[in-house]
Amino acid sequence: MKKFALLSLLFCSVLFGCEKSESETPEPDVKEGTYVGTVTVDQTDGTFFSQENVSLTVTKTSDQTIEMKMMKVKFAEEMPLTLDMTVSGIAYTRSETKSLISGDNIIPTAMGGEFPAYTITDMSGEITNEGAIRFSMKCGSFPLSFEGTAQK
Amino acid sequence: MLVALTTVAEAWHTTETEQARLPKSAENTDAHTLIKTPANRTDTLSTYEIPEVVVNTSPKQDASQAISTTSVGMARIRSERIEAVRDLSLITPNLYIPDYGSKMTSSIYIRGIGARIDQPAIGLYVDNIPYLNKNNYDFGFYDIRQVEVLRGPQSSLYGRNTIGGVINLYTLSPLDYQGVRIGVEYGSANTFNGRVSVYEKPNDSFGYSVAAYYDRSDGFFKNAYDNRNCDWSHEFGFRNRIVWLLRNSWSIDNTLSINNVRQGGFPYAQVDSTGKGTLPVCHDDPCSYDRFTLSEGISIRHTGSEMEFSSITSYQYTNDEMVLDQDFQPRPIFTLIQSQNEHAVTQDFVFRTRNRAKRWQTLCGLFGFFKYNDMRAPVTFKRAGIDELILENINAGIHHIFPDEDILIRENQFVITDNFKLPTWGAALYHQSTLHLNRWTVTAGIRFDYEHAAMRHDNSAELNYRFTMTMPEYRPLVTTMSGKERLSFYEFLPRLSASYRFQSGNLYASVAKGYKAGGFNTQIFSDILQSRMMNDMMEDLGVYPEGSPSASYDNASATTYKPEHNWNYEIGGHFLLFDGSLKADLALFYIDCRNQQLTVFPPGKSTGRMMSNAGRTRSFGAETAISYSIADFTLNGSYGYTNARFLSYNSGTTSYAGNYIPYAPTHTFALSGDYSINVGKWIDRILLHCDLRGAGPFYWNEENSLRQPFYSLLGASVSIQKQNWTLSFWGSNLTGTDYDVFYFMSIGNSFVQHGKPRQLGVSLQININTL
Repeated sequence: MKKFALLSLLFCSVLFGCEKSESETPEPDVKEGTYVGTVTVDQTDGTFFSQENVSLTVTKTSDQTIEMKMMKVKFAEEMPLTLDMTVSGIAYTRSETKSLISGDNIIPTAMGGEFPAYTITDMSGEITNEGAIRFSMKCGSFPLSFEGTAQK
Repeated sequence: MLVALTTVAEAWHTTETEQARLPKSAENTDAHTLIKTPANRTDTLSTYEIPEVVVNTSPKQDASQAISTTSVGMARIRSERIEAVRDLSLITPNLYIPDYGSKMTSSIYIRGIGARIDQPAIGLYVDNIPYLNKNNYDFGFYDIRQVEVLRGPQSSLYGRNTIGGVINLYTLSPLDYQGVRIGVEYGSANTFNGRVSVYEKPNDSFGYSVAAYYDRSDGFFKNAYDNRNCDWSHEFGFRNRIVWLLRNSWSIDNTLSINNVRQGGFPYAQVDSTGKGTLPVCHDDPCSYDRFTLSEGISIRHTGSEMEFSSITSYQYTNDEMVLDQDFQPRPIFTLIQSQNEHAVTQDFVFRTRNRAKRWQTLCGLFGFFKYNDMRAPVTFKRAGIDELILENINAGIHHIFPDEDILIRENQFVITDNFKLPTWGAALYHQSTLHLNRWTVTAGIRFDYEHAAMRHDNSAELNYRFTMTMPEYRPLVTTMSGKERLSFYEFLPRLSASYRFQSGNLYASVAKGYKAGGFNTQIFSDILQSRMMNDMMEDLGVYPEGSPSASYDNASATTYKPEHNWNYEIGGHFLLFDGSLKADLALFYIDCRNQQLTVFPPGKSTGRMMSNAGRTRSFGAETAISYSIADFTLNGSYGYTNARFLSYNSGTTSYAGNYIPYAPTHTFALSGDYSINVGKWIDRILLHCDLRGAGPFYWNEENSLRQPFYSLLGASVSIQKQNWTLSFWGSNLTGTDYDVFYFMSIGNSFVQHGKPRQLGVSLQININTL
């Protein structure tokens, strides 16, 4: 009888807990995950270089910052290699439908360490709740933009 | 009638019953008339040697089979200085076994078929015991009674890896000869060998023998790096044979052999920048080969009035180690140490009818084997190798963007560890029926062969690296790869032949399927891991060079190669003319080969090599051999022609269709003459011998851009005989012909090995007969 009472109590508590979690709606936050899109780099000679199907991962690193990692990206046609570039410490603020991102004087990491020659400046953009991302920035002296959508 | 018709044909293959009629003493010259085979009648040396009868004791072969065969007896073995399997090269038409590298590298090419590494194209049997590992094929001959080379696929009876033929060696039996045999020899390059053997027969049904030999040589080629000879060698061998004839027609024949080799070897010279000459042999790291082998085989045979049963059980142990400066240059690039520890067991049961009066003869057999090879093959990359083979590749892409920055590796050398465990087993069931119809003999055989091979591999490398632009400290990088691969093959191997006998010989036609097992490309794993290591480093850096070709062998599953199959169509004849003083053989063949296994060198500065299956090849040609004897003069000659080409073979970038298959000679040629002069008082006789052997041209690569033209080598000897001793003065390559026996590539550089130069020597053979 005692065992039955304990089991009933446990069952009720589990059921209550489940109902409680289902009734709560999570606070909308920056949409983490992997995005695929197009990088466009102003070559500052009147031409633009675009690379399609570039993967970019967004990871929340604190309540106000995210980290972006662009995978296998190149910035000019002549580049004989692609590389992974990580930009940390990007600030974001939330609105009801999107997160606004911004950053300045961020030293990216690539090729095993920091890359001061390609310091990120004038970064601004947004990540919508529906999974669209677009931003622009200067990577060193090269203006760069990215526009993509979240991978499901 | 049937017996009369078979007399001529079977004169080539004296059977075991005839063997029992052998003379009791080697010195019993009257006994030589007992068996007048063409071999002993044409061999003037036989009077002072053990009688030259054909001692075919194979439970599988039959004299009536339609097969191209070259049989060499004891006297010719000595006069032509056949001291190892490779010396059968050229005297057997279309058989070429180049003498290069070390005693591990017994590459055999026959009729355009062959391979440098892994599975052999020809099976080797010693006293009916199969040698499964090609690494063991090269050992010193001593007291070999008879050599028999069966040309063309023998897979229906012998199974795997007999796609080009079978070499049967028969050692001297203590029931055939009793006494002590001593031989010593000294020659060029401070070469010495000594052989001693004792044969005893305590009673008519029991005999035993003990034989041992030792060979040594300073070598013929100097390493310019340290000014020392690089191909020195020491070899020791021991054999014990016990033959016991039991009651009720049972017999036991047990052979235990031990062989130990220590040698330098690998005198490879780099081809110079003109492509026509070579640089001196010059490498900074040592090259050597050590091998210990033990072979134990027991044959149990029951000979009934209607049936014969044979059981052949063997165990073979191989422990070898090859040390290579694999760049063969005087620079610290990379080295390889490959050691193998292999155990192998085989079992063969053979049943066959033996009543020759019956028209229908059958043979059935059951064969099984298991071998387990524990192989370790660490590759050490040294400073220059790290810089040129690894960092140069990686930094090429980096320098396009950051010309002043580099990736560095801290170690002055690091090891790529390659460990393999290779268990292989197989089983086979075979049958052969022979139907005698008057002058016709029709033989049909089929074999079902199953083989399962597995490879467990464990490969790793560890180093520290940094990118100068972004990494102030070195970062460890560990690359590992392990896994298991499996291969299974089912094969049906038929053979059909017909022969027609006439008074002076026979004519035959045959069609047979041959099969060479597939396997694993263990020698490419250092390349695979090197490639993976660079990929891991790039991934760790987050850098991906564009347009870098992805190697087709970048994972272990791609390192297997398929079995090779061929169909051999052949017509030929054996002829005995002029009362048997002229023996002639002729064969014409056409071989259609699928998935021919070829050794290829991956493009660029690759460090390994691998077996590749060529799409399809075909080979046709002709073989002829003659043996002529009149009075005290004997002439032996052979000629082989092979036209072996790719029908379809695409390396991925190039089609080689129409090109010649590399390493296989188009022509082989051998001619030898022996003349005996009876002297009388002080010495009994003088024996003169002269031989000329040639081969070529060879194409060294699939492109057919490099070739060795036809070359020939002159040899001669003068022997003085007095009672039981023979003193010989001999020479080989007397004209000092320059020729190459091997070509290969390492890290994009071409190398050759030159053939051995002129050699002179003297030998003394003493036979002390105890009966």
